[in-house]
Amino acid sequence: MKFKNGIKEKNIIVKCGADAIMPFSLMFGFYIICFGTISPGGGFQGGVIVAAACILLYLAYGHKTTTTAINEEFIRVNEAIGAVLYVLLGFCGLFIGVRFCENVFYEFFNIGDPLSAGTITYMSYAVGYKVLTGVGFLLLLMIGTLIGGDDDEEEVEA
Amino acid sequence: MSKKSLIALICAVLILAVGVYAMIVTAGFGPTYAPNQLDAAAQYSAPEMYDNSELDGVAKAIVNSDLDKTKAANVVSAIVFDYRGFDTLGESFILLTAISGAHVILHSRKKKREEGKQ
Repeated sequence: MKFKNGIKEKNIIVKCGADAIMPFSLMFGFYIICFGTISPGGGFQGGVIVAAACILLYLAYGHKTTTTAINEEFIRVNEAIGAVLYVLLGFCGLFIGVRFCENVFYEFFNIGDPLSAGTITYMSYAVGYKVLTGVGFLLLLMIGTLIGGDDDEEEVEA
Repeated sequence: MSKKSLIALICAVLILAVGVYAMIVTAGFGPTYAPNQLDAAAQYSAPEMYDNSELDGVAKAIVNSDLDKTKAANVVSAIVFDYRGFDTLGESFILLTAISGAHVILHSRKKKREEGKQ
């Protein structure tokens, strides 16, 4: 029996529990991002929920699997892309002729549709993408640097 | 029982007593909104039916003109991304800056550890 930081590693119950919870947690997070503008929720909260799936992956499979399964550099770049997308969508108002961040392109759907809020919806998605990748990168960084320094990782693998 | 744990126990009991007292006092005020008259699901499906005649000031201006201006059924998201778009911009860039700082600090630490291993 092996304990690391008080958590028993590679436990079959933890593994199966993470496998069972992961799809639901991811779906819940993406639901909160996608329907943030017509229901309680939003990009920020949903992004953090999706990013928390990294912790589930680490708890079940250890830091080696987590860092090989997810490309850190790729999501670090994608965080910047989300931030730039938010600014560009904010500039949409300036191009039309109103102020920065003003809502435009909202004539195409009825009230209550997921995309009915115009650029508010797309800005919410951009923030969700940015927070998803940013917090996910932060968690991966912490897992890889602070916890992954133990040398006894290989013993467990064998 | 040592002296330290006795003090800790007394402090915990005091905090519990204050919390319970505050709970009892604030329960007498009643809810801050009337949950029996508020059907949240009906409001999201038909936001124009919401009775907002009792509001005043900025709240009235925002809530009454929200559907004409933004068509967002969720007023909170309209405020966060439209009326206060600059605020959200700064908020998300604070996150970007914090993560960059954490990356700088932890990356050098990781490098040092890997050098020490070899």
